[in-house]
Amino acid sequence: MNCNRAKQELELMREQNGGSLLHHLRQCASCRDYAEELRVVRLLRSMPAPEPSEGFEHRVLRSALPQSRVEPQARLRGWQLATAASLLLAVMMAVPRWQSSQSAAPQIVSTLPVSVSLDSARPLEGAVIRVSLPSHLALDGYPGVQDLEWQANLNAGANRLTLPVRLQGAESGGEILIEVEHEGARKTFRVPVQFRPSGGAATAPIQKT
Amino acid sequence: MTGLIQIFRRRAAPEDRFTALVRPHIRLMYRMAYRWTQNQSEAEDLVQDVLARLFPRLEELVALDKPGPWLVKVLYHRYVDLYRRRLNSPVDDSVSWSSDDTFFQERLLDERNHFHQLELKRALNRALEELDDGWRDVVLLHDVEGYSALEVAEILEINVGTVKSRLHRARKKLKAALQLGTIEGCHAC
Ligand SMILES: [Zn+2]
Repeated sequence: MNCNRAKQELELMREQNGGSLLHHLRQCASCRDYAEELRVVRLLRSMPAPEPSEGFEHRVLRSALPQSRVEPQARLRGWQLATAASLLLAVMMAVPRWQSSQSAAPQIVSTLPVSVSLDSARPLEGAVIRVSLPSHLALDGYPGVQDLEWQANLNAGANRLTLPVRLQGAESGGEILIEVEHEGARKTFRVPVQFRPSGGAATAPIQKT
Repeated sequence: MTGLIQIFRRRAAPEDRFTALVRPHIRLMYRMAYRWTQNQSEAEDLVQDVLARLFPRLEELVALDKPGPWLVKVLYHRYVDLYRRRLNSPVDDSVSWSSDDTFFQERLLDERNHFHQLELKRALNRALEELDDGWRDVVLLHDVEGYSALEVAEILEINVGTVKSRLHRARKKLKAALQLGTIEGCHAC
């Protein structure tokens, strides 16, 4: 069997490949390579994805339309949704530089600046920001305070918020809850925090409720 | 009579024209948003955010031959803005792409029959983390969601040659990662 024929057979995606094809593959690195590539492409093409939540299409369409046509009660709801959607959260844990350069000597890190970027499609004046920490985490300068709340004006675009998170216990990680509220619309974010004994930047995955 | 109907159609409310144009693409936009954000609720937010800004661009939308890739392009721009922007900023606060492992974890429990295939897909999705953003974008659009090389070039605003060479090199890397992954998998058995 030659390479052209082998490639054609491979593209047929048979459950079981014939003996002469297998024989060819054993001898021909280029066709083996091709077979592997086909396998990768097929796996990628059938990569699963979760379904969107119920009523998603209806919801986004409604909030995309101008409000004039929507009845008053639904208008408020649509506006709230639009506001909530205009807030997107990006989280990144910034590990101080001196830490990552010291790879050999492991040390206990007790304070970690956690940077959160709040993205807003438009300015939100007088937004209320609430931060809730589990009992073994605290913010530098606020020992023993688990819930903080303050008002801030968010600009359109990125708003950076850095929390100096301090570890006060044996556990090495936890979850910080951040809530942003603006005129009745509310959005909550969960920020997992992981302290590591030595360097290495830890990126916090983002979870929302 | 037909004349009347045509006038009536032409005068269809812009809201209805918008809905008719956009609705068939919402699912695809969501899927693509999920590929990029690797998080269901973030993907939903991203699509909602994009659509909320789109209504004023109705005329632009109407004039398009194929709104699908155009919508994905708008989505891509917004995604880059929100997640990868600030390339010029001294502070690196972009969000790095990371595989939605929780989702695979749940599916693995659900689908014991397709365990092996799903394990491979999870390994592959993880391997995508190691790719440069630009390569991963091409793989996600072309191989995962099935856009043509031309469409990918249009969406990412790069030329087709670049799409093809990135695709080629990315697949090579993924192949290698998968082979490693398979061996590791066998150690576990
Ligand atoms: Zn051959």
